[in-house]
Amino acid sequence: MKRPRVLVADDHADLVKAVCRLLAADCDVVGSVADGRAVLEAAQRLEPDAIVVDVNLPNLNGLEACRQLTQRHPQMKVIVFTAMNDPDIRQRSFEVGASGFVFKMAGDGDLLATIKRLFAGES
Amino acid sequence: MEEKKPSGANGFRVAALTVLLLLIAAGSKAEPVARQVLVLQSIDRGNLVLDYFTTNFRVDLDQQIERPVNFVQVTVGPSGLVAAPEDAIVDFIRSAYGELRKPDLIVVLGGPASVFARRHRARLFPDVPLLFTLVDQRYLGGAPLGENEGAVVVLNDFPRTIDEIRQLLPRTKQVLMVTGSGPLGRFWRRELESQFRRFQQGPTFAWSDDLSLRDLLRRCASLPPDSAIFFLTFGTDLSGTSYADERVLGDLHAAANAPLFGVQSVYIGHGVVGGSMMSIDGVVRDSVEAAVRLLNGTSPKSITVTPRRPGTPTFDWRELQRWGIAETRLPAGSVVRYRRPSLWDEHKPTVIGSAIALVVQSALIGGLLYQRRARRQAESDSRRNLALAADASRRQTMSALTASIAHELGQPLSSMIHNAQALEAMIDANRAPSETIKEILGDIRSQSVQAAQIIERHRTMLRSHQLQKRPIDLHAVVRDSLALVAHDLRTREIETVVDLSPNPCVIDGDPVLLEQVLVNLMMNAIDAMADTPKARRRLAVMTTVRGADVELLVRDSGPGLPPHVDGTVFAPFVTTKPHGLGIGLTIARTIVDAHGGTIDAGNNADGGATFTIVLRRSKTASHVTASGAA
Repeated sequence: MKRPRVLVADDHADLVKAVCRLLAADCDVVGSVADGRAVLEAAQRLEPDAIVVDVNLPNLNGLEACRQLTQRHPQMKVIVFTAMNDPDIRQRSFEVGASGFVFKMAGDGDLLATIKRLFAGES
Repeated sequence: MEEKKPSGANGFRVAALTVLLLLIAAGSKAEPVARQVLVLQSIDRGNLVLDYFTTNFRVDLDQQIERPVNFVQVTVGPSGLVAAPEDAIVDFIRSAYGELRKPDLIVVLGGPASVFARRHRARLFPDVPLLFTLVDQRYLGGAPLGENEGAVVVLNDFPRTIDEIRQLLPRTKQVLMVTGSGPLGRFWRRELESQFRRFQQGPTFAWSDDLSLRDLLRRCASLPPDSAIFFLTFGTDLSGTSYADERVLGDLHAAANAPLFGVQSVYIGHGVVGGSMMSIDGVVRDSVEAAVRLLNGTSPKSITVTPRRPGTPTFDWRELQRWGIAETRLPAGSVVRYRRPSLWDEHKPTVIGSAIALVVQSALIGGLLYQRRARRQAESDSRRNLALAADASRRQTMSALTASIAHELGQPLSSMIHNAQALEAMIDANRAPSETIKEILGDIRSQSVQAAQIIERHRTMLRSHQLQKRPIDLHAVVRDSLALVAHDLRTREIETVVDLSPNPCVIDGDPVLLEQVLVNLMMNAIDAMADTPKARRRLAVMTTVRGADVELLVRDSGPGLPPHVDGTVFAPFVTTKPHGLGIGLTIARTIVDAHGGTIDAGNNADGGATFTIVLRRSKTASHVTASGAA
């Protein structure tokens, strides 16, 4: 499998750091941003394969960012990454074009597994 | 300081002077012709018994005889004309009356004068009636009364006094008998040595007739334990010096180390403890009655007076106290004199006034104490009610922050989870350098501490809490409050402006309750801006130090306070929220009040509302003991 290039968007630096460590084995983390608008710009610039987006982002919330990202970059896989394990948010995530929905506090390596699953067919 | 009485030739002059004065007095009396009474007395002035008797006898007789009475008073006993031959004394007396007149009555006082009168009766107006008085029956001895003689005698009972001393002081082992050294003293020593033989089991007796007054006083000052002193009479001491009874009793009382007893009623008050007293007043009454009858012509033979014996036991309260004698030991029917007047007797009006004042004061104090207790109870109730209401309000606020809590906790928890997963993967792939492992574990630890602090902060806010003031940093309270509402501010997309004074803002306050107030104001502000366009949503928190106060503003950019809550925004159950209880601001004001501060609300000129809290800065605290609510 080709190592996917991943962009992380979350305003909590500790979590971004932990996520980068987790993904490092199987992905290339090309960048991280802490702002909803910044993620649009970074996606344009870095052209990642996948974008991990928190819902509660400043300036532009994660779901709106997701909608715009999938519209502008349909080839990019957007994974909504949230601490709110809410079915409504999950449903809305897929409605705005998300390829995956990961609950931050799932304890079984959901984020990495989701990314691997999304790119499994591209090897 | 010895005050001696005149004796010998001096005594003669005194007696003569007395006679002259009395005769002059007689000459000044108007008709009818005055009755003449010749008084022969045993001892010169200074003898308490004789002085008391003569003074009262003369007064009483004068009052009871219808005609005036002239007294010629001559001391014929040992301290009077003792130095003169007795015949000369008789001549003097006879010359005082001259050839033409005679006394109508001769009154003889005491034992020595009785002996004198009997010896010279033939030359002392034998046809004039003579009355012996104030003399013990035993002193008159076996000689019968003459034809023209009557007697008012007493029967002293000195052994009875010894019995009384032993009743009062059962341990008494020795009694010092004070008799003086004159003929009276010698007579009584002889007489009493015989009468005291019945006290073979004790006490023993010592006698003072062989002592000068100075030696007597010295001896009385160093008597062995369990001694008593019995004062019979004194008159003259061994050196022949004559002393007044009052002086001797006073000196004995001052010097003696043992209680002083004496049984003549006139001794009470002069330092004697007391006992069954010979009433000198009674002897005066008996004598006056007999004298009146004799002056009225009654035959002396027909005058019979029952010998007077010691009467009511009478005691001096002060002496009982001095010698520790309990009143329960006194004979039945005893009279106790000189009892110290009680506070009541002495200061009745003052005592009544003081008692009334005391009662009124006590009532006032009681009332004030009751009022203070009631006030404290009310304050305690108020504090408890504030705590209960504040608890309820705080929990309501915190329940509104549940989503915020979950989000806040979610950050460190999710970081920990992903760090743990990363570490696990590294170890599985065997590509985990120890440095990296350490770094990741360090991150996990700091994130778990962060999570624990968040939990503790919320738990503090949910816990029941009573007002506990201490010096705290108000800025720390502001930051903790903002942390609690940070999630809501972010999700509602509200711009937050924090402008804290560069000056220290230490106040005496309760961080939990003040944080409750701030969170409540901030949540109200967040709610108020729900319909405000996102671009205009703005929450400002500012502090400004103004002298001794610090001003804290919470300003929003919402629609402002509606007119219908104007002036009542802090009243209970006033709310602008569809589901609000309307107690949050009431509790907030109560908490601020409890801090001695003020809270006000008003609308901004450019829209929105501002809540202003003014608190007094701490005067005493130089540093903050702890910051924040956690």
